[in-house]
Amino acid sequence: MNGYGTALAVCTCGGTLCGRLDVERIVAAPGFASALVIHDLCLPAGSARVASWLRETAADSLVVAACGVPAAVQAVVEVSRAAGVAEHRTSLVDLREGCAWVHTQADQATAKALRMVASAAAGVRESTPPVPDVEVRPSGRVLVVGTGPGSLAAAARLKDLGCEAVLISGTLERFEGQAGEFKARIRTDQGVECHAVGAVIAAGDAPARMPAVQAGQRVAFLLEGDPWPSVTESTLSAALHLARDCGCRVLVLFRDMGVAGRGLEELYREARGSGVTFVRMEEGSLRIVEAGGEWVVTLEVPGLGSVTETVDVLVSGATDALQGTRGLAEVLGVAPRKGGWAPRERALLEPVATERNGVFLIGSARGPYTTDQAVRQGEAAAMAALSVAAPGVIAVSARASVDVERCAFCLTCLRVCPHQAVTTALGQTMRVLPAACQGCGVCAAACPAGAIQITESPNRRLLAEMDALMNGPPLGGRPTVVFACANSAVPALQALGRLRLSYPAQVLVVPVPCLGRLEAVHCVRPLAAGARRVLLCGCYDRSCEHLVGPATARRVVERASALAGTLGLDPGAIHVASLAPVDWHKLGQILGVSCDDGDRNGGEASKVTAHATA
Amino acid sequence: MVGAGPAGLTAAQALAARGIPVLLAEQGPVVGGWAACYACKAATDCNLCGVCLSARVSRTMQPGAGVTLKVDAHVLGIEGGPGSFAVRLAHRPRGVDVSRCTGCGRCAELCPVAAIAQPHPQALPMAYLLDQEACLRARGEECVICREACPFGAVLLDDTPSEELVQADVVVLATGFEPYPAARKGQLGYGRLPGVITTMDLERGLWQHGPEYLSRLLPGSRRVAFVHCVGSRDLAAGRGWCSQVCCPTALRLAGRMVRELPGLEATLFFIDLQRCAPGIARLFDDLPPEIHLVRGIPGDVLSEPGGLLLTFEDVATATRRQELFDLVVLAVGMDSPGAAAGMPAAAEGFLCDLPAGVVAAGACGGPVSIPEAVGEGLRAAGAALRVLESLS
Repeated sequence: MNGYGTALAVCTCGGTLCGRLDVERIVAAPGFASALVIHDLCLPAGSARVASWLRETAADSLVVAACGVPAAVQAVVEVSRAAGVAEHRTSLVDLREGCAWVHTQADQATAKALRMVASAAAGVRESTPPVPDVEVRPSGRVLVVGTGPGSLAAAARLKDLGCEAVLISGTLERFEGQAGEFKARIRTDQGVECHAVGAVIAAGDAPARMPAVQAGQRVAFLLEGDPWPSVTESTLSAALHLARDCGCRVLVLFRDMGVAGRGLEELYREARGSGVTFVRMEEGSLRIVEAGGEWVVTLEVPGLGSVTETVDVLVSGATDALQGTRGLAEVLGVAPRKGGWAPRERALLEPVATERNGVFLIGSARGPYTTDQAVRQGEAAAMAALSVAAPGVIAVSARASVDVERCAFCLTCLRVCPHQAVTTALGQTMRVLPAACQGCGVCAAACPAGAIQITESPNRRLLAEMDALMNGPPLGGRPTVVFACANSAVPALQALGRLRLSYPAQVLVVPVPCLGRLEAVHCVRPLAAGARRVLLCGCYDRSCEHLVGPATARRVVERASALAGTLGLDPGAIHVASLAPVDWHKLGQILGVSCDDGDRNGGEASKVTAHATA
Repeated sequence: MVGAGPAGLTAAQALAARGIPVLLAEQGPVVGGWAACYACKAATDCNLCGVCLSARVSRTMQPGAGVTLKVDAHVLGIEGGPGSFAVRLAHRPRGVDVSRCTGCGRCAELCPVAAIAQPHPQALPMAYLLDQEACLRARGEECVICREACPFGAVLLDDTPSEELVQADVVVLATGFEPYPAARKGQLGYGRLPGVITTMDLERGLWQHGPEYLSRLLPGSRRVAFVHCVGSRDLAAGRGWCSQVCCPTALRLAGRMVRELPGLEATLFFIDLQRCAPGIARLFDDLPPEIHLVRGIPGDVLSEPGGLLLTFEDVATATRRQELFDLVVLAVGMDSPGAAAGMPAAAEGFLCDLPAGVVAAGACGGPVSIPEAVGEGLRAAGAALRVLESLS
């Protein structure tokens, strides 16, 4: 730190914000050591001007009121670096999309802007220096579990990329640590092996199971059950092989032909061309009778009447029913339930990654994929693993830390962390693994002793920001406080701004990394300070990157509402809402604005692709 | 890197993270590809369509992180081999300097004919676009209002096409797909009958206008038909492949419609339900009562006084049936994006057997879902790295 006091820079975006806000009043905001108005922060000339001014002011912290475009974010980083102001002592206020563009009355918008600026200033004053970087030194070794084509593809690609694939033949018993430095214990026929690896790529076992059939026999594949299995790759390959290469007469009884994979439609046609008979069944129309080692299959086909076939071998159920290795996901710490094989549904929104950094699932460990898909996933996972496991030194800054003096060793954090980032050993204190932590704040909110702090927004900072936002010039009504999840509500709010859709200036936004970061006290505090409503806007349950955000928020709201009632505040004023980052309409609904602006956005959006395809 | 959809963006970022400088050329004005204009299809909970994933991939593109992004840049030709590719790029005039436009919108406020506008509210880059055909100057008028109004001197009224030659060691093609041109199936009435739209239209309409788009589409009664496999699994149309994503997309869209509009009944006409992909089986199993499934694809759509008449063969009962609907949504398949700068392609048009040093990623190699496209980006980045390693 090279000085004292907080400096304020306000960007007017080429003067276009001046009519919508009283910029003079904003730069005269109390509590700043120095203030500057600029017109072009995101252009090189503008950011250079801010940098030289900041050096002259010798301030130790900086608030920039501008916009949220990437160029502005980048400019603030560069400016503070050039002027020697620590990054955690800077704050960027989205004055444009978050205020000027969305409020119609200049006096109210100015009042809100003053609150936003004061809130940012309070925040930087309460910020704490980041926890020093920790060095992770991956050895370049990656554990590859499974022997199917996906695992082999992953291993081959890892080797190409300068990593060593550790292929195991045995059962993974234990897996602990963090990305870059995991420890894996494997039980083999010979005993126990231990490996230090930077990442793990896990597939299930090779799925294809060829039924025991002799050449020339009559075979029926019966795909029935609940839910009805579709014909898929392995049934098609088995049927084709038996019909074409073994002289078998093959009948496939099915309801849905699963051909969603490259080359499967061709495989289906080839099987048909090789003499495999495919018969579509409908419910209740099938009868099977066993007689003298043979099976008599009778089928009622609509429009064709009854069909009877006698076969020697009856293969029942899907030959490639979901069969990921039981317990594997659990050992890797990414299972939704005990003993389950499938990852959480959230994992399906990522190509290969899971909620645990450095753990990648491919092929049948992820779901019922085709061989082609498993191979592609294996190669993708190899590339993804490179970022955490390539040999070298990775500096990781801790996004959360435990105050060992306050920690009561209750293990709540260990239990609630969705990313397996909290660890402890006998006789040691709780520790957040920096390469595993994703900064969601779920542990900080759950800790009964308040012993965990999120580096980016420690509790004192969050409370100081909220308090400053709640106290300031009048907004023309009681405020509504919106806690906005960085992954969904923040981008949606920005879109509302870009569309210039106006909502009341009483809406005050507090960005959070995840709704799971919030405690009941955060929800009640604004009510006590006079807020009319408190909204927690975040992801849906299944889309939450931190898995538990919305569910945690619902529980917190329940507690907060009870607390509000006890304090004589409105217990019905706190709500949770889910939305997607691309669904600004839903956010508009929540805030009470109509988002359908007809042609203003309309014409242009359709031109985008017209332009692209021209 | 050619194409900045989910696959191209992912590949570019993955390579840049390994210290490889990347030039990302996108022919459109913004990144994100088709997926940038898809709607959220959550009903009561997220339905795992992957639109958020593609939005995240666009959002995390940071300036100055090793990726040089060139929008409005079309690839004319690729010559050379590993370590010495020469890529010829054509720049389409945007009328606005991307590096100077801050998105302030003053130009659009003042333009008398609304010829300049932002691409969309979550566009990257957010720089405005000048529609040179709509501009008064196209009619010979000397209007310079937008240029004078721009505080940053970003409007380029005399922007002309230009060409550029760039050098590259390795080329990644992520040129995506084209939706099947549904109008080719004339008997289904697309482009001819009001009330016949495609899943792409529905995605875009919902994305752009929200639920009100649906109320506008269905002002009165609310009988909706989804016709699957339009331009997929259809040898007669020259498209033998399954496009993989349309069954789940139709079901997710129907699910969202049913939730948004009370009284809406949706019928899905299909050949086979592609329920194998992970996370999709549940969609089919937890079907809301307002969604009906019929095995059989309607042969034609006729405009009748009571609505749109669909005639179809119901396979389950082997009967020929007719039913009236108010809206028909065609679940269009994925076509190849067309010849990519003279690269070889399979009979279906998707890229395959590429020359050494050229890697394909995503839907240009065959239909993929959004999460798969992102995975393809990672895979292609690994393949590109391998080529680079072999050069050094």
